[in-house]
Amino acid sequence: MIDLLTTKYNYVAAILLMAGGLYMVIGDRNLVKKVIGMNLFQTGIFLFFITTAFVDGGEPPVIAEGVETYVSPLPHVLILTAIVVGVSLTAVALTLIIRIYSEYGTLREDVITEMETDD
Amino acid sequence: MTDAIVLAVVVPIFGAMISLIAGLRFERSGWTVAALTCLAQLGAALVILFTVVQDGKQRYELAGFSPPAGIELVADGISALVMLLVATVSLAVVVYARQAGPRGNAFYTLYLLLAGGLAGVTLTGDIFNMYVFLEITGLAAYALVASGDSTKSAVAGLKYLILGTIGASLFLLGVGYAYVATGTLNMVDLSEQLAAAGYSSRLVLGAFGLLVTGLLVKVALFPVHTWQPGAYSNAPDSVSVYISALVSTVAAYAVARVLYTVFTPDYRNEFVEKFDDVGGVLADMDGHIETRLLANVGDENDMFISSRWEAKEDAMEFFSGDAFRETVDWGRDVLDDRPRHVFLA
Repeated sequence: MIDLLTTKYNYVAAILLMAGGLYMVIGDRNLVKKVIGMNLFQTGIFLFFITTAFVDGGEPPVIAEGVETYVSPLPHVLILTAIVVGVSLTAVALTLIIRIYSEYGTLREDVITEMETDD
Repeated sequence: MTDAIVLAVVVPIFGAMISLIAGLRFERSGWTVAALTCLAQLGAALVILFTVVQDGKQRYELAGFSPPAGIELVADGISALVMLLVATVSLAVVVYARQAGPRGNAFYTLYLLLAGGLAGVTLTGDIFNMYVFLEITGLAAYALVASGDSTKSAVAGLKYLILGTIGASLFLLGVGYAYVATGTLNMVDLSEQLAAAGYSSRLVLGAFGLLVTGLLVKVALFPVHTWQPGAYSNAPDSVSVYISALVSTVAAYAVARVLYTVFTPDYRNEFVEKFDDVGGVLADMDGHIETRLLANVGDENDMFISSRWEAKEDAMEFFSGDAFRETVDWGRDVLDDRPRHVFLA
């Protein structure tokens, strides 16, 4: 257990971020917090990818003299794309939340459901 | 005419840009742009289908980087048909939307982005590229659902967005697992490398579970279907028609791709069946005593063929024959260069 925490703490952090994010998406009633949870979940995945790129003693993947070992650049590039996707999703989600707030005057999911069934 | 493969994806995305820019000057130009773009996409889909029917599977290397390092688009029998379905429904819904609305260029911009994303999911041969196109499809679909007039449509759109994003993120995590296990992202290459990594490996099984679960959220399979009723009933009519006809369908196609192209664990049975045929032929040969197929208990893909002959000459005659060489070549293809030859006297 101690060994896991001292040598593989990146993976532990990735799992904690994912689990925490997923819990926020499911458990929280506030729509903005759900979106924050969604972002946390994605951040956990990003951390997992970046960790897998690490090579012990590796240098950043920019060709330089006297460097023999580089970390793998591909996961970084993939995550750069995934971050852009994540930002776009957050933007769309926040736009929808603004519209929901202007129509219902609340961000609580349970209150919105109540108002919808009353209609 | 393999260029049609890339055009089927790129044309709608450019059409979306043109629709957006043209909207600054001509307010009602969106429909014309969308109709022309969908017509061009249908043309590309037809060309792809005819080429595939005539010449078989077609590949297109993007930017000239050859796979597995580069990304490729692939059109085979299934994807060419799904592509034709996407293009046909896109054009039909545009025709319907002229009467039913919604009007305005913003709608048609999103619509064309969705069409481009669906074409991308259908034709891509790279698993990470599939994630990106799934998200393009998703983003356009979330915004289209929320473009309905009713107050509920924004709530339905947000629900769809949150569930869809969780699904796509699980898919991304599965891509990560598969990449860690194999070091490649190309689907065809992945199928070989995953078989080499072994289907009993936890990493490979984890990748399988995450990829399929992520896609099933997009397919809206029970019990991860809860986004679907709200999204369909609160979206504008044209959008309901389009996303119910295509978005889940293309996601289901993606599941089939992952199940049949990427994960291919039934090669072993194929090999064992083939071996039975070969065994039948061997039994009739001169000087043959018996031949058996033995499997390693620890790794069932690790197999050993033992063959007993009356005399060395009889065996050598068989080993130098054409039939034996053909069988070995076939075995190499199927088992990814695994057969090893050990001759025991």
